[in-house]
Amino acid sequence: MWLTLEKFLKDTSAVIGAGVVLMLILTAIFAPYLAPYPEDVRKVHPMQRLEPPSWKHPFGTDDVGRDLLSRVIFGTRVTIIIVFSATSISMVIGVLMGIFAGYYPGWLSMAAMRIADIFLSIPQIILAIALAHALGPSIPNLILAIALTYWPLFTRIVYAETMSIKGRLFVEATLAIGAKNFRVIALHAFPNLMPSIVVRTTIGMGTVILVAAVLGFLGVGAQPPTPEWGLMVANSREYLPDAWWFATFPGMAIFVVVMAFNMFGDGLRDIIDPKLRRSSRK
Amino acid sequence: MRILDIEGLTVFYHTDQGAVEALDEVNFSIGKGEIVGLVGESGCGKSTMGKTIARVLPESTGEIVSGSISFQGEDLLKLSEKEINRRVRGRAITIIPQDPFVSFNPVFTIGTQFSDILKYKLVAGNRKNGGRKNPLQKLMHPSSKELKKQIIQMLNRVQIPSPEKQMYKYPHELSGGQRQRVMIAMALAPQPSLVIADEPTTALDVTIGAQVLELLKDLTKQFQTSVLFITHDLGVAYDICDRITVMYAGQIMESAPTDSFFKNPCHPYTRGLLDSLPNPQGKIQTIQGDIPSLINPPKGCRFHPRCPRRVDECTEQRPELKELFANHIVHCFKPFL
Amino acid sequence: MFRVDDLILSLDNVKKYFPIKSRFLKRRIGWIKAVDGISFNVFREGVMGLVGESGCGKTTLAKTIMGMHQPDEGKVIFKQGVISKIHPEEARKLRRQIQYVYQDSGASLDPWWTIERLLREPLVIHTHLSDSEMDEKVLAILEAVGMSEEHLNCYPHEFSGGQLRRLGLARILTLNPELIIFDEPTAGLDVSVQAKILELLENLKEAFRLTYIIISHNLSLIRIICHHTAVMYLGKIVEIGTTQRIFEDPKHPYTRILIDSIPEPGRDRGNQRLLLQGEPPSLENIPPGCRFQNRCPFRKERCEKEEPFLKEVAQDHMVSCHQWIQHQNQAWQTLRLVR
Repeated sequence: MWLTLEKFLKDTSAVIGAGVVLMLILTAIFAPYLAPYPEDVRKVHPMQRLEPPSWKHPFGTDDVGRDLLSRVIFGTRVTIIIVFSATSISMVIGVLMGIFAGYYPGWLSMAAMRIADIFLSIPQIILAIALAHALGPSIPNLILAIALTYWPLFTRIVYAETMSIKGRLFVEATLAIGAKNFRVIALHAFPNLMPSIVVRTTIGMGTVILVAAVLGFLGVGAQPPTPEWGLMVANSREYLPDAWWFATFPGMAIFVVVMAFNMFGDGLRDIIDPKLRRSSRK
Repeated sequence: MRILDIEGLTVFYHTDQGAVEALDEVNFSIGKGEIVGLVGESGCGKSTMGKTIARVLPESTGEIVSGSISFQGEDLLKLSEKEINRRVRGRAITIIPQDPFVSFNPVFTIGTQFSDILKYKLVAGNRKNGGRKNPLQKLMHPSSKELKKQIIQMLNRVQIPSPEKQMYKYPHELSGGQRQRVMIAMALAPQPSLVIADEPTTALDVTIGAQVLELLKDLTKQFQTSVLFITHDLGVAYDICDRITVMYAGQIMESAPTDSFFKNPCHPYTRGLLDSLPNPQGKIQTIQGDIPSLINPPKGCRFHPRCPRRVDECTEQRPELKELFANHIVHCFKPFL
Repeated sequence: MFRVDDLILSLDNVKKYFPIKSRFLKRRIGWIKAVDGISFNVFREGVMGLVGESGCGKTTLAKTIMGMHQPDEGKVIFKQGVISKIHPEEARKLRRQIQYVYQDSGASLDPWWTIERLLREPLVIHTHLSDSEMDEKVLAILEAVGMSEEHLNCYPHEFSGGQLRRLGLARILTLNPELIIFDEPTAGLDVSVQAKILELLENLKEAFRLTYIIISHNLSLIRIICHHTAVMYLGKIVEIGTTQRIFEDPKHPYTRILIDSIPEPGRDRGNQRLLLQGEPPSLENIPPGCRFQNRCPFRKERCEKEEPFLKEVAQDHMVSCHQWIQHQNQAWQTLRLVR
């Protein structure tokens, strides 16, 4: 355990990524205490509209006078909810399908993989847009739309890995001592799949945020007055280039968080290696 | 006449846990046309020796701490990587690796891989002065027909049936024995002075391995090529080697002509090793203890913790060389006589 | 020495074929006859050696005995019960009694699991022992293979090859099997470690009253530890009998050459050994007649047409060869000089 941590800590970008992700989570939890004007999530101040960054409003104000910094901070909550829900749902669907397709080859598994292929053949964003539009713009629907477009990526990876793990000697050996298939899948195959799943998940989170932002931008995701970053960037378009702060700060938030997830995911991938596990004694 | 003379060679591998002292002041030599066996168990340093001579140690972790390797009048350790690559490796010194499957590129036919060697190693070498005299010298710009002819000739030499057809096959279409033969052909093509064979028969079946060994012996004797034959299998060494050198934990323990080695093993480790070979009559005998870690190896003679004949000197200094009979040398304070 | 009612395992004309399918339509266009009519008996607490090179079918045979493959023909009889075509659930329960030790013990252990969990797993699967009972058993077995309690917390990659073999063995012994099949138990090990493993195997056999089937191409190993030996070639047994007879008086040319191929330090090097030329035919294309014909120095016309069968040539010694009578020592000496 500690050796793993040691190795991780040597990887600068991974540590930075992890740090930012942590900050994101903390900001989301403590948003009401961190934001200088928590009421600005809803309340509008038309007299203060489009004010440039100042001491009073470090990020400036938006088109209806709301403090941008507070809205960006509250935006972390929206982001976290979307990211974690969408990723979890697609992970559960994708992994389960992948494991069964990989472990029990046959026409059913081929069918499942072809379905996944169909989903994958359409660019994710387009599919998400179509789904979100069909389902109606709201955050739960947004989450569902993203989840439905993301699961095939999990399935593909898990399918391939499961097949390769199935062929490995220790699986055969465990069956040879009389284990049932379920046991092998749950207790042996799954832990060995974890590394790939974890990495895919973390890197995926970056993509999910981006997709959510795009959908918000296009108006098929979050709706006003929800402080979603993509939505904010969308709203800022008409006021560019004068009110540059309106587009910049939410946009940077998106950028920073997506980068962070990617760097974190990369770092995780490097350290996931069973050989790093060590017994407590030496 | 010696073609390879190693003196005081010390090699470390740097790892997270510390420096692995893989070779400790090793002195070793090979004569012209001699097949010398380098024998020992895992971790004894035999592969490291082979890799050091060919200068293929892993860059990030391997370090040649000291010593000299004198080959054809030059110290190989003083040459630059570029020089070694151009003149020595793959030309004057070639390698036959252990696992013939992974040593081939799976996406090219063996004919293509063979002709690559012929084209670049032979011709390029002859353009500069470092090249050696060989019949292919005239092929400055070989046509593919010439190349093909040469390849078929060499495949014939290693007894590959229907070489005209086989050269268009991919590595996975050949059997293990055939792949190893092609490897031998490729290693002998540049007519090297020294071939380093690293466990060439370990991955093969017994009967196929026996064939490959005979082939190797025949061909190298024919051209007076020296061979450094690295193996952990004493039986195989007995069959093919003129002289056998035993290593343990990075040190040379004993070196003798093959017959003398097996008739009169003088070093306690050699004796232990020979005794633990399965024999039909007696019980199985083991050497007590385990191979030591090379990160903080024992001082003096590294075998002393397990040696039944240990005395105080053994724990402090490296035993110096003793020549007991003709060409039979031992590093031991208390050898059997 | 062994009585008939001491039979623990009996194979009766077992065959296992694998279909070769054409690339596109997956039609069966041929068979790989991996195991083609194998019969032999194994006695309680005996050690049976299966000798052969790659492709001879020994691993397939072992897996068929284990129940991991179902034989296409023939029967496998274990302790007087037929186990070859039984329900998979029954077969799974049988694994308690017949176990298989992999050649690469390291790879047979899940790298994410600690040794303790790995050793306990067989017990968890097959028994309903309490935690403390399982702990006791695991410790006892660990000590029996020469390892200790401190190793329980470690992971497989922290051990050396020899230690991994022991751990693989320990895992299997927790179930008190009666029959253990070893696949190349000493391959890849240093000589000194091999000796230790052999010692361990002998001790365990005594202590637990085990029966072994040992698959190996290492003839010196077989000679030391096996009571009976069967030599396999391309899916058939070509010679079978007590180890002593096989090594002292091998009758089949393949056996003879195999034994000759063992590099034996101390043997007179001037004496040229007989080498096997050529390579075995591929399993997809087995020629009619004797399978060994293309490499056999004694091949005659009959060998090309008619397949030989195992015939008893001496007490406890059977050979499958048309020309065995001719394999007198003189003929072999002549061959040695002409090589």
